[in-house]
Amino acid sequence: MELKVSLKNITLKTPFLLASGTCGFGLIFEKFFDVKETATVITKGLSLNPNPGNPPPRLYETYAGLLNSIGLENPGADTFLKDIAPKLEKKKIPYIINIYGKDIDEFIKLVEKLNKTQALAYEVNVSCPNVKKGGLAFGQDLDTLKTLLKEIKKVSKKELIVKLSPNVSDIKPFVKVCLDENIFNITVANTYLGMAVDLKNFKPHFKRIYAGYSGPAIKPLTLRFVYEASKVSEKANIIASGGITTFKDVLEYFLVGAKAVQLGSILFRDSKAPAKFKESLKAYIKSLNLNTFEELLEFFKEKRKAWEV
Amino acid sequence: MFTQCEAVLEEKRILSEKDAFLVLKVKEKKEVKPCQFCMLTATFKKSFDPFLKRPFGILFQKDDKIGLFIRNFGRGSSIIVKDIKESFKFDITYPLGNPFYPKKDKILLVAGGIGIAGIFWAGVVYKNLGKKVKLLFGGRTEKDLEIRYFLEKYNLDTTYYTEDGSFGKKGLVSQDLENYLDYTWLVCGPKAMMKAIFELGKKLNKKDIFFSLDTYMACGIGVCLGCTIETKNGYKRCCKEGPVFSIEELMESSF
Repeated sequence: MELKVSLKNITLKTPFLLASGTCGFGLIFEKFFDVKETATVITKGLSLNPNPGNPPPRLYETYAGLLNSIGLENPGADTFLKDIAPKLEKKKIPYIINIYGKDIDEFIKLVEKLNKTQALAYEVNVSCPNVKKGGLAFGQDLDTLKTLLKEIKKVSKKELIVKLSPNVSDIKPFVKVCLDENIFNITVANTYLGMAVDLKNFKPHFKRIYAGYSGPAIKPLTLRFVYEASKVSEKANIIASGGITTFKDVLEYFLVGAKAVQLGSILFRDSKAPAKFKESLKAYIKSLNLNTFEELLEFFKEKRKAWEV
Repeated sequence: MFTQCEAVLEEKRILSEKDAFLVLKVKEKKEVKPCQFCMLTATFKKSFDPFLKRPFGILFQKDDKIGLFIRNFGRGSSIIVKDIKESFKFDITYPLGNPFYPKKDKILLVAGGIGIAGIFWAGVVYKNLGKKVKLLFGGRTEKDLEIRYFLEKYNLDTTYYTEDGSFGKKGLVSQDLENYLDYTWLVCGPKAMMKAIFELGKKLNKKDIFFSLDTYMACGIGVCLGCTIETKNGYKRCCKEGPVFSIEELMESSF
C-alpha cells in the first residue's frame, strides 16, 4: 500500500518521522525495524560546535510523561559530517537535519557546512535561546523568527521545516511568519516548559530549573496547536509532534490536519512503535476502503469541513 | 546485540516487604554478558503510566529465562513488586550496556543489598572463564540477603555481612576490603557504600576498582542522553559507555 506523503518539495516514504532528540541519529533503530522503509530520521539537534549539554540530573518522570534537561548535547557539525552522515547515506536512510544556533550567525555557518549532505531538509529548532536577545527563544518572538528564517533561506540549499515552540500564547502568527517567508513545512510543536522540585532538599530538581515536558500527557495540548496551525492556510503542511503514544493518537493528529507525525518519547518505551504504527495505518486505510495514505488525508479533510459550520 | 520482545513472568517470589525475585521467560534469547541490564515496562496492560521502562540488572540467565531482583523503590518498581502477577507479559529490551571483562584473574565482587543484581552474573561468567571469583554480599539485616537461596547453586565463594549481625559477619561489606588488594574490585550497591569504597580506593591508590552505576534512564539504548554522569573525561552515558566505570575516570560527583 502506498503510504508516501508529499510536503512542500519533500516526499516522505511514510508519514512517520523519528523526532529530533529521541532517536540519536537513527542508526540504532536498525536493530528494531527497517528504518528506511518505515520512517524518516530527524537527527539530534546539531550545532556548529560540539555541545556537552547540561549537567545531570537530566530526567524527571512525571505522571504519563517526562521532563528533560539534556541541553542539546551533540557532537557538532564536523563529527556529523565525518562519522554520521556517511553511515546514514550508505544505508540510504532518509534523514532531516535538526539545526540550532545561539545566534543567527551560527545558524548560517552551520547551514553552509551541512549543505553538502544528502539530507532531505533542515528542521530549524527555534526553541533554543537567542543569546543576543537575552536568551528569549527565536520561536517566541515574531520579528526574531522572521529575521532568522530570512537569513537561513539566503544560504540554505535545502528545503526548510520550522519546528515551532508551543510555549507561546497563540501559535497562528508564528505559522503566518513561516508562510510569509515561503516556508510551508512546519513542525508543531516541541516540548513544553515545565519544572520539578526536589522537596527533600528544598530546591529545583534540575540545575537549569526549567525543563522540557513530553510524553502522553502533552498530546491534547499539541493536538489543539496542530488543529489551529493547520487552519491558518491550506498551504501549510503541518508535521505533528507531541506525545504520540498509541496508533489512535496518530490518527487523531491526521484528523485535525497533520500531514505527517513525529514519534518522540514513545521510542524510549517502545522502540518498535514506528513499525507497528505503519502496519496499523495500512490496516486502517484498508478498513475505510481507501487505497493510499493521501486518500486518507483527503477523507479526513472532508470530515473536517463539517466541523466549521 | 540487544532485542525488544515479550517477557512472560513465570515465577515471582516476594522476599520481604520491599524485595521480589522474578523469573521471566523471554521470547527472543540473547546472551547476557557481565554487568548488562534490561529495560522493563512497569505498567499494566493498556496503561502508559508510569511511561518509561525501568532499568534492572540481570541476575542470571538460563536458557530462555532471566532472573531479576527488584526492590520496591518508586512508582514503577512498586507495581512490579506488589501488583503484577505471574503470567503477566512485560515488554523488555535487553541485554543492554557495555559488558565488563576485567584483565586480572582474581575478581572481588562487592555487592550491597539490591546491588547484587548488577554484578552477580558477571561473577558467574568470570568463574566459568576460569577466573578466581570472591563475592562479598552485605545488607542491613538477614532479610536483605534472602535472595541468596536462588544464588547459592552457582557456588560462588561468598562471605555475607549484615549490619545488625543477624546473618554472616557483623558489619559493613566494605570493612574487609583491604584483605583483597591483589584482586580487581567490582562494586555495586547504595550510593553511600560506593562513595565510601571510592574514597578508600583513592586512599589506597588502587586503580583497578570498577563501579557498576545505576541512574534514572529513559531509553537504555543510548539515544536520549538522559542518564549521563559526570566523569573526568566529560559526560558519559550510563547505559552505553557504562554501566561500569573505573575509579580512574570517576569523581565524587559521579555517584
